Amino acid sequence: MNDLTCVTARELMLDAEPSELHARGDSPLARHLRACADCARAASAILAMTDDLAHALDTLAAAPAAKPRADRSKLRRLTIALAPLAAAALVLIVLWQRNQEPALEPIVLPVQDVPTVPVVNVPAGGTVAVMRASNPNITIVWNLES
Amino acid sequence: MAAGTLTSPGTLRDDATIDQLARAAQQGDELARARLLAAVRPRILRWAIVHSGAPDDAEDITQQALLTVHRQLESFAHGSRFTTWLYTLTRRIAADWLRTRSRRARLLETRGAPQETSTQRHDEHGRLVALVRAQLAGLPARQRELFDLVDLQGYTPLEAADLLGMNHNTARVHVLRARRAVRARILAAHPNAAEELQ
Repeated sequence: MNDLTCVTARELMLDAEPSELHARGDSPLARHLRACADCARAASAILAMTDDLAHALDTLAAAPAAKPRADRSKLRRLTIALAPLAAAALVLIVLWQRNQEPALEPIVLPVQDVPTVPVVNVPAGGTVAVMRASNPNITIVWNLES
Repeated sequence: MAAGTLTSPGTLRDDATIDQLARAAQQGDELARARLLAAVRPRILRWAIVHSGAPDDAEDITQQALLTVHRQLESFAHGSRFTTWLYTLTRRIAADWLRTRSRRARLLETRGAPQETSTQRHDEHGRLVALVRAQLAGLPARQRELFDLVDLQGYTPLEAADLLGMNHNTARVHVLRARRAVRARILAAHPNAAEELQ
C-alpha cells in the first residue's frame, strides 16, 4: 500500500476519473486501489452504481411510449371532447320532455254529482242573465247585480 | 469509465444523421420527418427524465416536445446543431411542465389528496425509475444533465458543453459537482465507507 490513507483515498474517489477508479494508471489513487481491498470495493461500488444508473436511463429512454398513461390521456381527451355534447344532449332531452308533458286535463265530474236543480239563489228583484251552452247539460247564470 | 463505454453511442449520438433527416424533413420529405421524430424520441425521453428528475413525467414531456418539433421544424434555421435546438426546446417544455406539475401538486396537497408515486410499483420499470430518482435526487437540473452526458453517456465535457450551448469551464464545474454528490451518496451507503469519510 502506498502512503495514501484510506480516508484520503475515499475523498479522492469523489472526483476521480473513471479510469482511476478502475485502478488503471500510476496515480496515487490508482496505486492505493490496487493495494487496498476495502477501498477497491468502495470504488467498485461507485462504478457499479454508475453503470446501473446508465443502464436504467438507457432502458427507460428506449422504452416504447407508456400505454397505460397514453390510454389515460386519450380517455381524458375523449371525456373533454364529449362533455359539451353530453351537456347539449341533456338540454335537448329536458326540452323534449317538457314538450311531451300532457296538457292539463279538464276536471270531469261524474254525472251524478251535477245537481239537477239549479242552485243559484238570486235575491228578489235581482237581475240575472241566463245563457245556455251548446251542451244541453250546461246552463250559465250570471248575476248582474254583484 | 472510458467515454462511450456505458451506453450505445450509435443510438444516441448520431448527430449527422439527425441533421440530414431534419434538412430533408424541412424540404417536405414526410418520410424523413417521421424518421426524424422516431430517431430523436429516445434522446428527448432521456433528457426529459434527467432534466425533470421525474421519470413518471418524462413521457408526457417527450410527447409535448415531439409535437413541438413537428410543428416548429420549419423555424429551425441551422444556426446551431439540430440537437442543440432540440435540447433547448425540450428543456423549456420540461421546465413548463414541472411548473405546472408543481402547482397541481400544491393544489392536491391543500385538498389532502393522496399522490401515487412510481416507487409504489413493483415491476422492473418501477425499479429503474426508483433507481434514477434515488441517484439523481437533490442535484440541480444542469448538474443532472451534464452528469448524464459525460459520466453516463460518455461525452467529453467539451462536447457536452457544445451540445448544451454553454461555457466549457462551467460545464466542467457542473460535472465535477454532480459526480461528487452522486458518489458521496453511493459511498455513504457502502459498508465501512460512511464512518471513514466523516
